[in-house]
Order: sequence, then C-alpha cells, then structure tokens
Amino acid sequence: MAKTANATHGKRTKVEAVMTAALVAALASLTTAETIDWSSVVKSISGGELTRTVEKEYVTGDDTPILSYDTNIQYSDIVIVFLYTNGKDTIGTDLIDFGEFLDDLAVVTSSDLSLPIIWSVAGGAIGDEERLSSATETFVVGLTAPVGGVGDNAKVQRTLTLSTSQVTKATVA
Amino acid sequence: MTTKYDPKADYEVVRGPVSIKDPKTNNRTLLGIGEKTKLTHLEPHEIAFLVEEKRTYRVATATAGGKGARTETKGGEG
Repeated sequence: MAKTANATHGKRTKVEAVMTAALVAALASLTTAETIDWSSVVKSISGGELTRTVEKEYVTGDDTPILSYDTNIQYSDIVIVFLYTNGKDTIGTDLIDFGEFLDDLAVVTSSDLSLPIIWSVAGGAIGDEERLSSATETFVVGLTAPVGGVGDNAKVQRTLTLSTSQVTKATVA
Repeated sequence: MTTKYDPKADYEVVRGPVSIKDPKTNNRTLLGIGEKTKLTHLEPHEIAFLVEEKRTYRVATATAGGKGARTETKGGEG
C-alpha cells in the first residue's frame, strides 16, 4: 500500500491558539489577527471531554428506570501544560512571549475575551482528526505561576486552564 | 488503474466538518457536509487519500459542459 500524507508525518501533538480581532483590539502587545502554532512549547493538552446527564427514575417494583435525557452537553476544561523560556521563546508575527501574553489576557475583566484553541493529538496532518474549542466562548479560568528550573536552559512550566462551551471535531483537509 | 485528482476541480464534503487552513494566516475554515470547495492547497495524492481512503470528499457532480475533476490512466485494455 502506498504511503499516505498521514503516514509520513510526525506525530507531535499540534496546538494552535487563535488570536482573534477582539484580542488584538484589547491587548496592546498584539497587532495581527492570526492563528499561532505554539506546539513547540506545549508539553501536554488534555480535557475537552463531553459529558451529558441522563437521569434515572425508578418506580418501586420496576426493574427498568424511566430515563430523562438532558439536552445540555457540557465539556470539561481544557488543560494545557507548557514549558518555555521566559523572554526567549517568541511565537507568531507579533513575537509573542506566551507567558506574558497569557498573564495579560487572564487579568482582562473589561470584556469577555475568548482564546479559541485548535489541537490535534494525531499531529494535524492531512486526514488527521483535530478539535476546535468555541470561537467565542473559550475563557481562561486558570493560569499557574511559573515553576522554574526545568532543564539546563532554565525553562519554566506553567498550566493554562480554559473553559469552553463547545468542542467541534473536524478532519484536517 | 491510477486516478489523478485535479486540485482546481470542485469537491463536496461527505464526511464533515473538515478544517481547511489558510496557508498565510493559518486561520481555519470549517466546511460541513454538502459544501463544495476547490482543493488548491493540496497535492493530487493528498486529495486521493482524502477521497479514497478517508472518504472525506467526493468529486462534485460536474455541471453540463464542465471539466471533469479527475482523469484515469489505465495500464492497458484487453
């Protein structure tokens, strides 16, 4: 069988952050609306699992319950752990230091700024599965302070937690 | 038999959504089932992979007088 594009691609998890026009307008450090690949500093990404409640009501004497399906679907928080060298790992057109950027974003309270995330644990090559968090409702709900001294280059580790209302599954194509 | 797919032809999404990346901004567009697009950002063998292996797209029905999306070359006929 011939090799496919998928089979010849590396398998590093791909994580992208969408710098929306609203983010550019709100943060002085940004001038360009673009999608930034920050896989180079991401250590792991987890979460975004779907949960849906089904309530079971039992009537005395009956073996089978009366089921009540909740139409509300919820997604767990997305947790991204990243390792970077503060002030040296810059990404994207605006040379963003992701730690500084997130520090700025996390404290904005004047408007609801969404930071949509696109990720593919398969690597993001043609035909791979990827997931996209809500474009308008992906909010920073947690950002740890840097934990230092990782490796000879003194990289620091931080954890970003995002709450999202929706996760969409798509195929890279 | 080898099938060559033309990136400039129209393809219809049959298993979606699909995520298409703009090579300049890296921004992505999502296309749902039934939507049609050209695949000029892909190589013919990548289109073949998506059409034949992943079954993500199919060749859109050609309009009258339109140009076909694929050409087939055969090794020989009996």
